[in-house]
Amino acid sequence: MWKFILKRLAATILVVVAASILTFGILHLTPGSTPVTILKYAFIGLEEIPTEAEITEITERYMLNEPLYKQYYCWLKQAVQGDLGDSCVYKLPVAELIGLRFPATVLLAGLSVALSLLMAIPLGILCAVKRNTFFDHLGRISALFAVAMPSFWLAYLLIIIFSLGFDFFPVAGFRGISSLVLPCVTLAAGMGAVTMRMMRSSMLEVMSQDYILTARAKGLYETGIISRHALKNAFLPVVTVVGLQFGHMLGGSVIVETVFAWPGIGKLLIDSIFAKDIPMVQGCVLLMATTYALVNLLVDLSYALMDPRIRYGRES
Amino acid sequence: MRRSLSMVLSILLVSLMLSTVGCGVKAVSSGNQSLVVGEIWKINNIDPAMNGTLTMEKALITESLVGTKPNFELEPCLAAEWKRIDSNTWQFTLREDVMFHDGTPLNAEAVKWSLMRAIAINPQIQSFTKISTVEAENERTVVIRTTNPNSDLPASLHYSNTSIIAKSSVDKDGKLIKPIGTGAFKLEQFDLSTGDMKMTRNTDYWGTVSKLESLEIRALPDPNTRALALEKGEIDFTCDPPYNELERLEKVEGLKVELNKTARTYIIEMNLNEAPFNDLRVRKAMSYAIDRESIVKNVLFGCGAPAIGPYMPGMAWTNENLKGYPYNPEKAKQLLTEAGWSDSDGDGIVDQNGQAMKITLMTYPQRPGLPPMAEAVQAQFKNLGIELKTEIMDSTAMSEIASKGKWDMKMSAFATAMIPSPSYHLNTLYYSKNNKVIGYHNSEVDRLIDECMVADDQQEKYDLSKQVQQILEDEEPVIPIAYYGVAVAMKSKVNNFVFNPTAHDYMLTNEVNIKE
Amino acid sequence: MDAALVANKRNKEVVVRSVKRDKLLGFSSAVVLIIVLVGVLAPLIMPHDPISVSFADKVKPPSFQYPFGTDPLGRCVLSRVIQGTRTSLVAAAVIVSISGVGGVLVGLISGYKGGKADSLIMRSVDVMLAFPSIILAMALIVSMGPGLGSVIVALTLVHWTGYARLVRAEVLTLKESEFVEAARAMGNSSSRIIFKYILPNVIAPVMVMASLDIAHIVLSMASLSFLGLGAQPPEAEWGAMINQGREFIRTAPHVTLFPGLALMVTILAFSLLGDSLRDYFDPRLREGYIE
Repeated sequence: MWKFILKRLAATILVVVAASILTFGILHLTPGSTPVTILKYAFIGLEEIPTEAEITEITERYMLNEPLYKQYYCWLKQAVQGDLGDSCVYKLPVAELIGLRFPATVLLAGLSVALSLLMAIPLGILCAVKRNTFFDHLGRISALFAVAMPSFWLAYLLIIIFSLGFDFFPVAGFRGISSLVLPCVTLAAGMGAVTMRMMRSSMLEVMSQDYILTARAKGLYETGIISRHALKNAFLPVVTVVGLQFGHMLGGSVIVETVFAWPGIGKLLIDSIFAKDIPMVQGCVLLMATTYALVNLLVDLSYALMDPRIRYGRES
Repeated sequence: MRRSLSMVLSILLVSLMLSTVGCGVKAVSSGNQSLVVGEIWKINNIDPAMNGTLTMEKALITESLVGTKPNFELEPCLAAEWKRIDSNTWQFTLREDVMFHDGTPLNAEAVKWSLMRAIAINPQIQSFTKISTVEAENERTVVIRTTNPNSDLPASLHYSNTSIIAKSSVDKDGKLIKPIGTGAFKLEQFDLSTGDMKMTRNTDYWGTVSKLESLEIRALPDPNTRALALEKGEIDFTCDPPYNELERLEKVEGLKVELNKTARTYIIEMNLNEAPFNDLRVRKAMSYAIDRESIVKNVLFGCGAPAIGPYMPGMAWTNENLKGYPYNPEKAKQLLTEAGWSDSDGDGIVDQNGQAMKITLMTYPQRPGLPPMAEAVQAQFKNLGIELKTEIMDSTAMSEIASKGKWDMKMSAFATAMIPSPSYHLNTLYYSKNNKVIGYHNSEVDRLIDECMVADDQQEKYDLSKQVQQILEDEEPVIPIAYYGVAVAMKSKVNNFVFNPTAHDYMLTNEVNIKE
Repeated sequence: MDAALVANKRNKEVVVRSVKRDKLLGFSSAVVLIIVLVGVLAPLIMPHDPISVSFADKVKPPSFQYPFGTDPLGRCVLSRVIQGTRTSLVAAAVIVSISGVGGVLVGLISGYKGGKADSLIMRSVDVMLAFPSIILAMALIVSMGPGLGSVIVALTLVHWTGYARLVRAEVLTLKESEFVEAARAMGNSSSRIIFKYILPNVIAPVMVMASLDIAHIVLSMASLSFLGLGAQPPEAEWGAMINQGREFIRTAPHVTLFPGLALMVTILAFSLLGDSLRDYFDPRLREGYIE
């Protein structure tokens, strides 16, 4: 077991380092990191024409004439110590800004995951138990629509109906619990639908296994069968899906945070992209990759915990 | 197993709920004399050297040495007077009665420190001011030397990023704690994650102490959100709600909407090195073909004004005698025919020597008026028989393409009084050495701009600038389209707000208050 | 309940399921066909020019002349939705075919050759998969500048990994199968075995994945355009149209409503098609999901 954990941990660290090289490479071979861009976006204004002196000053300040590997080395050396460089636009440490914004995203993502599980798991089980009834069909069709609904469009529908139409919730911003409702529902809808479908089919598969049939043949009550035998095994694949979904939730948070002006990491990322704030973009992308990798690690580990076969068995 | 899972879930849920409550509704100070402003940009920096517009014009925390009147003429502010000693040396005399918010007096040493700090942080300040040294001659007198003769030094010291802060604004490592200025309001609180700023009035202000007890600024970069926040009463004052909602907002009880203009002009630059733009008749034809009234009405929803020359009316150096190129499709067609462009093959596009006139217009999306304006011009040129393709790209990419010489037209919104000087904008855009990209060469224009820059007498400067504007109208090297508009929307109870066109977006003053 | 009864019930279910499956497959392929036809015939069936501006008609509500109303620049929303279908389908087709072919080739080689090449390829796939896909696409777009072209390149670079993984896994099982062993014993070259014996057997799962992938790509593309990173005005693209309609959400909600509807129907159709294809090729497989 320990060997398994250590191995997974090492792999995660390797992936994160490789991801940092990839991000650094992508972002620094770009028009976004020329001195003129930095000047226009962070100092003099878009429409102004930079002077030679200004360009020289910025080139030196951001080490833009050094070779890329040297820039990366310097960056990595600082990053290991928790210093991700300074934002061009905010003129503050990237790490500090991320620390400021990350909790809002965690809150939003966490509540959305909780909400989606709260909806999806009971519904998925019910649909499986009441297979091919009206309830099942209704559930599956709504799940289908929820999966296909683009989150930004759903967000606008919700705003039009609940904020503009009924004035229940604020349109945007971060003011109190009521402003959490619409973003959470938007994020949770798609994810909940996926989880629900997974829960239903996983449940169905488990219920057609021989030991369930045997239990049923023995005359056990249906509820007893479900709660005692079926659920435990049906949860396994769902855990994996939830882990995978978390990554998409990070991606989705960019959109939802943009629509609802939620002061989280996704909004920070998209703002930084438009402000050509390369150190900031890099910090955000890296944080998302790291979070995603860690969540996957957790999923792997919890999978191993839940399924004793994995503990000693093969590792894919 | 199941039990532990559900336990984990419920713990997660409860803790998340608790943390929500923790960051719940913030109480808004609801004294009568308080104003809440919905700011139009993200607030990511409150350093006056980087974001002086915010601290000087909106939050009223800092002030600069030189002020301006609404017609862009300079007037004393923190400096009571200034004079040029020789071509590279200036002497500024400070007001005597000014204190920083921390109680220390404004003196020459403080000004020196603040200016040198700003120059070190923002390279643009150096290129505006051309300052080489700042010396404190005595308590009240600051001597500033420049690297080159710069008759616009006072004007550039109006620029908000040079506004003066006390040394206690930074910690011992030079990191900004908070801006401590001399203005009518003191910063109490700033939340970087939301961009909310809270100010209280400075009762020791050297001018009239504001009636407003507190001023709050909330960053609401989304126009929809601003409009809604104003309607719901979360804010008292904002600008630029979605233009299409101006009409509706105006009718809402308790709100008023004002349309104003600022010193920024939507223009089309052309590649004068290449045909057909090297032909004056073609340029004039294009200018006549643009229906500016329709653009202002339909693209800008009335927020702005059709442009005649580079400067909007009402600025001290605007040449008010210019006629511009009012919409005249017949005249445009005629000029185009004179220039040898006509539709000889009947495909609806004019041609010359078998070459159809197909032009690409580049613009950038950061100013929301630009892309639809480009599409409007495209439709209007089509009537003239010119095929215009629009390309929306990043503004840096646009200037990069233009600097390589392979381009036709580009549309931007240029600030015309970044520094309130009659030569600054003309110098950057029309002086042959400074803007090689558009390829405009006129030795007379160059000479007049040179003279305008060195002249010491303000009136003489204005006259020289007006002469340049006349030549620019005759030669139309750039097509002005519209003056930039600002829509201000506020509660009816907001009192004494007078729009100041020198503002970057909008400017509050110590006079603004709430009707009792 | 005795065993025979249970078996009987199961068989009945299989029959019911397969009938249902065929119905679903028929329905979803019909809808997909209609969408594709709309895309192909776009220039013929658009009632108005989707690009040209006409201020006289701006922000009109739906009417007989403009069934979906007009946008803030007076353009027919229906025509723009139709043109948007073409934009989305062409882009999705380009992305799926390039990333699909590339991913399949990489997967075949990686799975068949094994060894160092395999672990190198799979490690780089792992690194790519360490990013939520839309985030990686964003980083790539930042480096190329916003635009539909950048979106196509970015999504292609992101999406091949899925095919590579899938095909590699299939190849690993196929490699050990009897008919491949036999082909090898008969002295066939590696490339011949890969293309003649293995490739035909991975086509079906790849088709299923491609169909689900189109839904995913259409959504990603629209999301990126919505954020302002994809199609730029005046190009007609659903996500970009919703973005442009943002300011008019109160005065003219139809500007955002219809492109969103088109987007949803398209995503729904392609994911249903993918699901039913999967059932068709391999009824044992579980009900699928799109990410």
